[in-house]
Amino acid sequence: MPMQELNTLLTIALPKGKLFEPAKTLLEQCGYGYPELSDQARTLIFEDQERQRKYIICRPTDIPTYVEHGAADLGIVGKDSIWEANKNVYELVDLKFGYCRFAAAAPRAALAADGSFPWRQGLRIATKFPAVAQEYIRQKGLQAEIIKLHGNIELAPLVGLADLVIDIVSSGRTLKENDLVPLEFMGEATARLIVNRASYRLKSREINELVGKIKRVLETEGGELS
Amino acid sequence: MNRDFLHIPPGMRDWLPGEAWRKRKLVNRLLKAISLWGYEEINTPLLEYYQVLLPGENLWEPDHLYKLTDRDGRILALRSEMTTPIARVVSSKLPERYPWRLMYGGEVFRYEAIQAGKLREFCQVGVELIGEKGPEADSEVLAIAIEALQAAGLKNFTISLGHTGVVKRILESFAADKTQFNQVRSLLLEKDFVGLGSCLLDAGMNREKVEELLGILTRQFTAAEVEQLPAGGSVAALEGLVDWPELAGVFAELQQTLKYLKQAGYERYIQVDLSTLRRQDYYTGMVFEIYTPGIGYTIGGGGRYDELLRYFGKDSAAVGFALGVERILISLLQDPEAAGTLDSPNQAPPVLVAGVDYAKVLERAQQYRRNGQRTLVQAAVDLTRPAAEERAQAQGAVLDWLEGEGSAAEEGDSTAEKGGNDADAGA
Repeated sequence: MPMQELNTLLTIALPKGKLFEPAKTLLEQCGYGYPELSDQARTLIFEDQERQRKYIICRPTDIPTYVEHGAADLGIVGKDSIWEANKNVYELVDLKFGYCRFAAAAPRAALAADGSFPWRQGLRIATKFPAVAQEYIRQKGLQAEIIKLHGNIELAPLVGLADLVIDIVSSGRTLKENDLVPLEFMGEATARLIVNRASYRLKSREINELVGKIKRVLETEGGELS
Repeated sequence: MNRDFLHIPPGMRDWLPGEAWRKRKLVNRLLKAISLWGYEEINTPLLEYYQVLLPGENLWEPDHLYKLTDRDGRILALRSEMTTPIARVVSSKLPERYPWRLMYGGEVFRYEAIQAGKLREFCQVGVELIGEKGPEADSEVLAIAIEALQAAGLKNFTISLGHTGVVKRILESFAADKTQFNQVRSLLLEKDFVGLGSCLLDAGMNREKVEELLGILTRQFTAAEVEQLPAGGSVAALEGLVDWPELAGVFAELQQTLKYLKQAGYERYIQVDLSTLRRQDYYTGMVFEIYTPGIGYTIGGGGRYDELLRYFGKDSAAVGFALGVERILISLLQDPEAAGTLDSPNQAPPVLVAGVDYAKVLERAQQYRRNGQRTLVQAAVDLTRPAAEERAQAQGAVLDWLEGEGSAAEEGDSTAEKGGNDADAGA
């Protein structure tokens, strides 16, 4: 990659999926809109040559990696993905949208008569977030077998793959429909603006400009301190 | 046959011909620039007792050391940075004839979660200035870092300058216990400003003050801005920032350091960022990190560590830095011009002495080497001149072909001599 390009283009990574639209809207409100931007298009890179900006669209879980390595200067991603990725990135602003929380949930049939869950050693836990699950179970003083899945976690206990699940929950409907009972809630997550540690220094003017605009938009929407 | 054992452990790498040469050349350039400041090279073992290396690790998280046990059952570890071993040597083996100006270039090992682009064995070049304190010494090591990077051929880099006093003063401004202190330090190290904000609110700091503080911490000051601050360095003089008297002392100290750097014309490389912190726990004053476009990580960093030597029983101020050789190399190779200077060998191409009479070949080759000419030899009964020419070309060498006994051409008919390199005069 030519040095020139690395120097001038401000690259922003946006997540595919449910955070995409609110992220796009926020950028538009800040004057960082780009009409063609979409997570449904075939192309994953959008270049706004006129304003020296580049947008890349990727899986939410990969965004911390792109930003850590400097392939993107900035990224918008859920705190849940940041926790799991455990990457060396700077977290500048809480964007307030995309609220969800981690929950441990078990099948109703596995609960004791008083509704409690019989925690024990050697549980099998299905999750998309093995690092978060490992930390949670460590704090409980237990050992467990963590089974990494890539989607539809609620299926695992129904077919005997796991005793319980650890997953992100927003409304709780999926759990209910599969007769899973939330046992405990862990950290709460919202979308965050993250930045590469070198870009934070080398492109501080451009980055501070965007951060300032985002904070103003959030304030007018009655957001809290970010 | 199962050849799985041909792999090398994760995070290690082989340096192939060409690569190894470029790396050595870069290390030599850096050390040469540093030695102009009167620094002397020091070497310490790769393996140390585990306890010796502990101050170089963060104490609130698992260490990143490669460990093994010796036959007496004592725990050994591979060094993960050079500052701590050098502090051990200075405390235990060098006379108290301060200041000591020491430099090093060597491999260190860090057993971190493996990620693409992160080596577990890497090379660091750095300096330690032991027994000097104040902005004079601080600016000396900063200037050395700048000159070393310039000598390496790096054109564009930024030094992000901070001070460990920032966290300390902030926390002193309201009663904070050790747990809170570590939490704030760790949030600031990860630059989790969202988390830092809520942590300070929880600790009882009022909302207005938290927002002001985050404003100061997320701002990059140019050297000129810091310079303009009035004596005492009140931040209130900077537009948009409310007074923060706790930080005045830190600014005053940085102001002095910047003044000396300006004299050398180096202030353009500096950016003051009070959120700058280093992974190691031992820093006690000015700290810095170095960044270059195109590399997403720091390429070096350092700072003042006035209390580390106390761990080894001595009491002496100290300041230093380390540069990451592999990362600087990646950056230089992105710039065709800088890459060219690393590629071109400093020396004439080697001579390939070839012929059917191996005794004569060896004799001629020895003459060349005595004159400082790199020389390869090739002998085979059935070797023909065209075949030898082909070999010479493949090796980038100039051919000196020795005809066999009784053949028409004797000494003097050598391509090498026509090639006109330095060694010819004595050949």
